[in-house]
Amino acid sequence: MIPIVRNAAFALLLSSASVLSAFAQTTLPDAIAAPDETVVLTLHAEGAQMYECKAGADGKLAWAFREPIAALLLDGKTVGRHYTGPNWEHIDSSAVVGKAVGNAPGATPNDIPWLKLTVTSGRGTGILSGVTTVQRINTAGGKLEGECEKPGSYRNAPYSADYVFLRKG
Amino acid sequence: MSFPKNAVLTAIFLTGSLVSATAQTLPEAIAAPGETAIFTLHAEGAQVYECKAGADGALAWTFREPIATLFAGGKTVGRHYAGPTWEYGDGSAVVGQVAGTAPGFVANDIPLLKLNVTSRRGTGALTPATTVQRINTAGGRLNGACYKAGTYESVPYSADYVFLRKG
Repeated sequence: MIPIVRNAAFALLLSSASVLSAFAQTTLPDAIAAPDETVVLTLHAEGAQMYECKAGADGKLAWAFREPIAALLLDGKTVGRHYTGPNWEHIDSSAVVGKAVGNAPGATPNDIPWLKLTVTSGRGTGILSGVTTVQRINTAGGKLEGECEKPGSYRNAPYSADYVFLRKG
Repeated sequence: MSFPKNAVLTAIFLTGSLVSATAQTLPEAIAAPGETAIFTLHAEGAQVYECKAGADGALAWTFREPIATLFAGGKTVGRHYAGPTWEYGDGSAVVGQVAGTAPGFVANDIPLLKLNVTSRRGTGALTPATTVQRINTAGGRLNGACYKAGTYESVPYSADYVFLRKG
């Protein structure tokens, strides 16, 4: 009896530990890390990844990623939008456009990958001015794969994520 | 002989009803008689809900805001977001206020809406709009209890937004 109980307690400890480390997320995967950069702001995103039905290289119709659309939230307030570009636009009018330079798998196969994006252009003046890198982390949902029937039709996959805005130094 | 004739008649009736379904007589509650459609944009996006305590103190999903891409002819031409705001690529934008609703096609579809334009900014395609109709809704609905206040849930939806002007 005693060894079984002890093992059960041990197993419980182990699974708690792994749950904790999954939430702590202090260490990002190397592929999306931005060493030597400083976090300016982290915004929560709620929205959809939009897909379009298109013929692939093999001529078969399949869902192809088209663009993101999401509201950017901070402390319960809507402070901006994320949309095709990809653009991140703050309500103070500052905005940046990024280009993906690294990715790492999401927590489950239904979750879009975590990303590192380098800022390629900016506009306006505000909190996003001077941002050089954007990380997409804590992704949930947003994935859509497989065949489709009507070219030009759209489908949305809801997702949430956190976007971390960083600057050099 | 009489069977094929009936079949043809049935086919005609079916076609007739399909055509009238496409032509869409809008429910009175969202009709805009005397106004002219400027253009119609297709929207794909999400309705965002927040977990909040209701009047009875129980936590329930509460509609927070829309977020959608606006399309015309396969091109992305604008965005729809909190306000509710519709923003066109030329910089013109309008904000509306709900003035009428009608049920969606199925229970999971958000209602059809008529909105009066209450403010505008920029100058461009949306500037003359006085009314916006939300039609052909699919999805976007979320009801029921939730567990953690302040959490969000995005529900995918699509719709067409018709922009109209007086006269």
